[in-house]
Amino acid sequence: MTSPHGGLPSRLAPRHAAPQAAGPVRFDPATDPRRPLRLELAGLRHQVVGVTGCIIAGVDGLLILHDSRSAGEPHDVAAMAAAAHGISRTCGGALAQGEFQEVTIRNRQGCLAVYGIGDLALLAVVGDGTVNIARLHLEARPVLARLATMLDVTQL
Amino acid sequence: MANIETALKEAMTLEGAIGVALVDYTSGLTLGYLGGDGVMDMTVAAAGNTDVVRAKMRALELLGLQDGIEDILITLDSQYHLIRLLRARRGGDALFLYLALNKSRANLGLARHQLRKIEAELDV
Repeated sequence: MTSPHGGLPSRLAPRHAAPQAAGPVRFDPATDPRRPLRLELAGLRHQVVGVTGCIIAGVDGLLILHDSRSAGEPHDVAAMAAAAHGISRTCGGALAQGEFQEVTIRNRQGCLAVYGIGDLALLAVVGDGTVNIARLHLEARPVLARLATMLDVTQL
Repeated sequence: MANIETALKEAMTLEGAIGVALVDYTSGLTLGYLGGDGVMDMTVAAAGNTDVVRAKMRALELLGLQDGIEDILITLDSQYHLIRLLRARRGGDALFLYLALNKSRANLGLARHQLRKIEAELDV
Protein backbone atom coordinates (compact mmCIF):
# COMPACT_ATOMS: atom_id res chain seq x y z
CA MET A 1 0.00 0.00 0.00
CA THR A 2 1.34 3.38 -0.92
CA SER A 3 0.08 6.76 0.09
CA PRO A 4 -1.88 8.83 -2.42
CA HIS A 5 1.03 11.20 -2.62
CA GLY A 6 3.65 8.57 -3.43
CA GLY A 7 6.50 7.44 -1.23
CA LEU A 8 6.40 4.82 1.46
CA PRO A 9 3.28 4.15 3.51
CA SER A 10 3.70 5.92 6.80
CA ARG A 11 2.10 4.74 10.03
CA LEU A 12 2.68 8.02 11.72
CA ALA A 13 1.54 10.53 9.18
CA PRO A 14 -1.65 9.61 7.36
CA ARG A 15 -1.65 12.06 4.54
CA HIS A 16 -5.30 12.82 4.01
CA ALA A 17 -4.38 16.49 3.82
CA ALA A 18 -2.03 17.98 1.28
CA PRO A 19 1.56 16.92 1.99
CA GLN A 20 3.52 19.47 3.96
CA ALA A 21 6.16 21.22 1.98
CA ALA A 22 9.58 20.41 3.42
CA GLY A 23 11.06 23.70 4.49
CA PRO A 24 13.12 25.25 7.21
CA VAL A 25 11.78 24.39 10.63
CA ARG A 26 11.03 27.39 12.82
CA PHE A 27 10.82 27.04 16.57
CA ASP A 28 10.99 29.51 19.37
CA PRO A 29 14.57 29.08 20.62
CA ALA A 30 13.60 30.10 24.15
CA THR A 31 11.03 27.37 24.67
CA ASP A 32 12.22 24.58 22.35
CA PRO A 33 13.60 21.74 24.51
CA ARG A 34 15.09 20.05 21.47
CA ARG A 35 17.10 23.05 20.41
CA PRO A 36 20.52 21.50 21.24
CA LEU A 37 19.62 18.53 19.05
CA ARG A 38 18.51 20.81 16.23
CA LEU A 39 21.74 22.77 16.51
CA GLU A 40 23.77 19.58 16.19
CA LEU A 41 21.88 18.59 13.04
CA ALA A 42 22.18 22.07 11.56
CA GLY A 43 25.88 22.07 12.46
CA LEU A 44 26.46 18.82 10.61
CA ARG A 45 24.57 20.13 7.58
CA HIS A 46 26.73 23.24 7.53
CA GLN A 47 30.01 21.40 8.14
CA VAL A 48 29.67 19.06 5.19
CA VAL A 49 28.93 20.48 1.77
CA GLY A 50 26.14 18.63 -0.03
CA VAL A 51 24.21 17.48 3.04
CA THR A 52 20.58 18.29 2.35
CA GLY A 53 18.93 16.91 5.45
CA CYS A 54 19.53 15.26 8.81
CA ILE A 55 17.01 13.15 10.64
CA ILE A 56 16.95 11.48 14.03
CA ALA A 57 14.73 8.42 14.06
CA GLY A 58 14.02 5.55 16.37
CA VAL A 59 15.18 2.09 15.30
CA ASP A 60 11.45 1.37 14.87
CA GLY A 61 11.36 3.83 11.96
CA LEU A 62 9.45 6.57 13.73
CA LEU A 63 10.69 10.10 13.27
CA ILE A 64 12.07 11.83 16.36
CA LEU A 65 13.42 15.04 14.90
CA HIS A 66 14.38 16.44 11.54
CA ASP A 67 16.33 19.29 10.08
CA SER A 68 15.46 18.49 6.55
CA ARG A 69 15.55 20.81 3.60
CA SER A 70 15.55 18.06 1.05
CA ALA A 71 12.54 17.05 -0.99
CA GLY A 72 12.25 13.70 0.81
CA GLU A 73 9.44 13.40 3.32
CA PRO A 74 11.14 13.06 6.75
CA HIS A 75 8.80 10.29 7.91
CA ASP A 76 9.71 8.27 4.82
CA VAL A 77 13.43 8.84 5.37
CA ALA A 78 13.05 7.73 9.00
CA ALA A 79 11.36 4.53 7.85
CA MET A 80 14.02 3.89 5.20
CA ALA A 81 16.78 4.53 7.74
CA ALA A 82 15.24 1.93 10.03
CA ALA A 83 14.99 -0.53 7.14
CA ALA A 84 18.65 0.05 6.25
CA HIS A 85 19.56 -0.39 9.90
CA GLY A 86 17.54 -3.62 10.04
CA ILE A 87 19.33 -5.30 7.15
CA SER A 88 22.70 -4.02 8.40
CA ARG A 89 22.10 -5.38 11.89
CA THR A 90 21.03 -8.71 10.43
CA CYS A 91 24.27 -8.82 8.41
CA GLY A 92 26.28 -7.90 11.48
CA GLY A 93 24.65 -10.69 13.44
CA ALA A 94 24.95 -13.32 10.69
CA LEU A 95 28.61 -12.53 10.08
CA ALA A 96 29.40 -12.18 13.79
CA GLN A 97 30.68 -8.65 13.28
CA GLY A 98 29.16 -7.09 16.34
CA GLU A 99 26.77 -4.22 16.72
CA PHE A 100 25.54 -1.88 14.02
CA GLN A 101 27.63 1.20 13.45
CA GLU A 102 26.92 2.80 10.11
CA VAL A 103 25.50 2.09 6.66
CA THR A 104 25.83 4.24 3.55
CA ILE A 105 23.67 3.90 0.48
CA ARG A 106 25.23 5.61 -2.52
CA ASN A 107 23.18 6.43 -5.56
CA ARG A 108 24.24 8.20 -8.72
CA GLN A 109 22.84 11.52 -7.58
CA GLY A 110 23.07 11.33 -3.84
CA CYS A 111 23.48 9.21 -0.76
CA LEU A 112 21.85 8.22 2.49
CA ALA A 113 24.07 7.53 5.49
CA VAL A 114 22.59 5.96 8.60
CA TYR A 115 24.48 5.94 11.91
CA GLY A 116 23.50 4.31 15.17
CA ILE A 117 23.03 6.62 18.16
CA GLY A 118 23.25 4.17 21.00
CA ASP A 119 21.01 1.14 20.61
CA LEU A 120 17.66 2.79 20.08
CA ALA A 121 18.09 5.78 17.81
CA LEU A 122 19.49 6.46 14.36
CA LEU A 123 20.93 9.48 12.65
CA ALA A 124 20.09 9.54 8.95
CA VAL A 125 21.88 12.00 6.70
CA VAL A 126 20.72 12.68 3.16
CA GLY A 127 23.28 14.14 0.78
CA ASP A 128 23.36 15.13 -2.85
CA GLY A 129 25.86 13.83 -5.41
CA THR A 130 28.61 16.18 -4.27
CA VAL A 131 28.85 15.08 -0.64
CA ASN A 132 32.29 14.08 0.64
CA ILE A 133 31.30 10.82 2.31
CA ALA A 134 34.58 10.28 4.15
CA ARG A 135 34.33 13.80 5.55
CA LEU A 136 30.71 13.16 6.52
CA HIS A 137 31.73 10.05 8.45
CA LEU A 138 34.46 12.01 10.24
CA GLU A 139 32.21 14.94 11.11
CA ALA A 140 29.38 12.65 12.18
CA ARG A 141 31.46 10.83 14.78
CA PRO A 142 31.60 13.60 17.42
CA VAL A 143 28.01 14.61 16.62
CA LEU A 144 26.87 11.05 17.34
CA ALA A 145 28.63 11.05 20.68
CA ARG A 146 26.97 14.33 21.67
CA LEU A 147 23.56 13.25 20.41
CA ALA A 148 23.81 10.04 22.43
CA THR A 149 24.39 12.08 25.58
CA MET A 150 21.61 14.52 24.75
CA LEU A 151 19.05 11.85 23.93
CA ASP A 152 19.69 10.34 27.34
CA VAL A 153 18.97 13.57 29.15
CA THR A 154 16.61 15.45 26.85
CA GLN A 155 12.92 15.09 27.49
CA LEU A 156 11.64 14.13 24.05
CA MET B 1 51.83 -1.29 -14.92
CA ALA B 2 51.70 -1.21 -11.12
CA ASN B 3 48.77 -2.01 -8.87
CA ILE B 4 47.72 0.21 -5.97
CA GLU B 5 49.80 -1.62 -3.36
CA THR B 6 52.95 -1.44 -5.46
CA ALA B 7 52.44 2.24 -6.26
CA LEU B 8 51.88 3.12 -2.59
CA LYS B 9 54.94 1.13 -1.52
CA GLU B 10 57.02 2.84 -4.18
CA ALA B 11 55.84 6.26 -3.00
CA MET B 12 56.81 5.36 0.56
CA THR B 13 60.37 4.63 -0.56
CA LEU B 14 60.81 8.32 -1.45
CA GLU B 15 63.20 10.10 0.88
CA GLY B 16 61.31 11.77 3.73
CA ALA B 17 57.94 10.16 2.94
CA ILE B 18 55.55 10.30 5.91
CA GLY B 19 52.45 8.81 4.32
CA VAL B 20 50.73 8.28 1.01
CA ALA B 21 47.12 7.65 0.04
CA LEU B 22 45.14 7.00 -3.11
CA VAL B 23 41.87 8.84 -2.79
CA ASP B 24 38.59 8.88 -4.71
CA TYR B 25 37.57 12.54 -4.65
CA THR B 26 33.96 11.92 -5.59
CA SER B 27 33.49 10.40 -2.14
CA GLY B 28 36.66 11.30 -0.23
CA LEU B 29 37.24 7.64 0.57
CA THR B 30 40.69 6.06 0.29
CA LEU B 31 41.41 3.21 -2.10
CA GLY B 32 44.56 2.53 -0.14
CA TYR B 33 47.11 4.19 2.07
CA LEU B 34 50.45 3.56 3.71
CA GLY B 35 52.33 5.30 6.50
CA GLY B 36 51.18 8.29 8.47
CA ASP B 37 51.87 6.39 11.69
CA GLY B 38 52.03 8.66 14.67
CA VAL B 39 52.02 11.79 12.51
CA MET B 40 48.65 11.85 10.81
CA ASP B 41 45.64 9.69 10.10
CA MET B 42 45.82 9.22 6.33
CA THR B 43 42.06 8.64 5.98
CA VAL B 44 41.36 11.97 7.69
CA ALA B 45 43.95 13.63 5.46
CA ALA B 46 42.29 12.08 2.42
CA ALA B 47 38.84 13.38 3.37
CA GLY B 48 40.18 16.84 4.16
CA ASN B 49 42.23 17.15 0.99
CA THR B 50 39.31 16.01 -1.13
CA ASP B 51 37.81 19.39 -0.25
CA VAL B 52 41.07 21.09 -1.26
CA VAL B 53 40.98 19.44 -4.70
CA ARG B 54 37.32 20.25 -5.16
CA ALA B 55 37.84 23.87 -4.14
CA LYS B 56 40.63 24.28 -6.71
CA MET B 57 38.47 22.69 -9.40
CA ARG B 58 35.66 25.06 -8.53
CA ALA B 59 38.09 27.99 -8.71
CA LEU B 60 39.16 26.95 -12.22
CA GLU B 61 35.53 26.60 -13.19
CA LEU B 62 34.76 30.12 -11.91
CA LEU B 63 37.77 31.50 -13.75
CA GLY B 64 36.54 29.83 -16.91
CA LEU B 65 39.89 28.15 -17.50
CA GLN B 66 39.63 25.11 -19.72
CA ASP B 67 42.51 23.43 -17.97
CA GLY B 68 43.20 20.52 -15.68
CA ILE B 69 45.08 20.28 -12.39
CA GLU B 70 48.33 18.35 -12.63
CA ASP B 71 49.38 18.62 -9.01
CA ILE B 72 48.92 20.78 -5.92
CA LEU B 73 51.74 21.55 -3.50
CA ILE B 74 51.05 22.65 0.05
CA THR B 75 54.05 23.68 2.13
CA LEU B 76 53.78 23.49 5.90
CA ASP B 77 56.39 24.58 8.41
CA SER B 78 57.78 21.07 8.62
CA GLN B 79 56.11 19.13 5.81
CA TYR B 80 55.32 19.13 2.14
CA HIS B 81 51.92 17.84 1.04
CA LEU B 82 51.82 16.86 -2.60
CA ILE B 83 48.54 16.09 -4.33
CA ARG B 84 48.74 14.57 -7.78
CA LEU B 85 45.58 14.01 -9.77
CA LEU B 86 45.36 10.84 -11.83
CA ARG B 87 44.61 11.39 -15.47
CA ALA B 88 41.03 10.48 -16.37
CA ARG B 89 40.57 6.73 -16.32
CA ARG B 90 37.93 4.46 -17.65
CA GLY B 91 34.71 4.46 -15.68
CA GLY B 92 35.02 8.13 -14.80
CA ASP B 93 36.93 7.48 -11.57
CA ALA B 94 38.24 10.71 -10.12
CA LEU B 95 41.33 9.87 -8.10
CA PHE B 96 44.33 11.61 -6.62
CA LEU B 97 47.55 10.53 -4.97
CA TYR B 98 48.31 12.31 -1.73
CA LEU B 99 51.86 12.32 -0.44
CA ALA B 100 53.10 13.85 2.81
CA LEU B 101 56.83 14.47 3.06
CA ASN B 102 59.16 15.55 5.82
CA LYS B 103 60.38 18.96 4.69
CA SER B 104 63.89 18.67 6.10
CA ARG B 105 64.54 15.25 4.59
CA ALA B 106 62.71 15.33 1.28
CA ASN B 107 63.90 16.55 -2.08
CA LEU B 108 60.82 18.20 -3.49
CA GLY B 109 61.88 18.21 -7.13
CA LEU B 110 62.82 14.57 -7.04
CA ALA B 111 59.68 13.60 -5.13
CA ARG B 112 57.47 15.39 -7.63
CA HIS B 113 59.26 13.72 -10.53
CA GLN B 114 58.98 10.28 -8.93
CA LEU B 115 55.34 10.79 -8.08
CA ARG B 116 54.63 11.66 -11.71
CA LYS B 117 56.28 8.37 -12.72
CA ILE B 118 54.34 6.40 -10.09
CA GLU B 119 51.10 7.98 -11.27
CA ALA B 120 51.85 7.21 -14.92
CA GLU B 121 52.47 3.56 -14.13
CA LEU B 122 49.56 3.14 -11.75
CA ASP B 123 46.79 0.96 -13.08
CA VAL B 124 43.58 1.14 -11.05
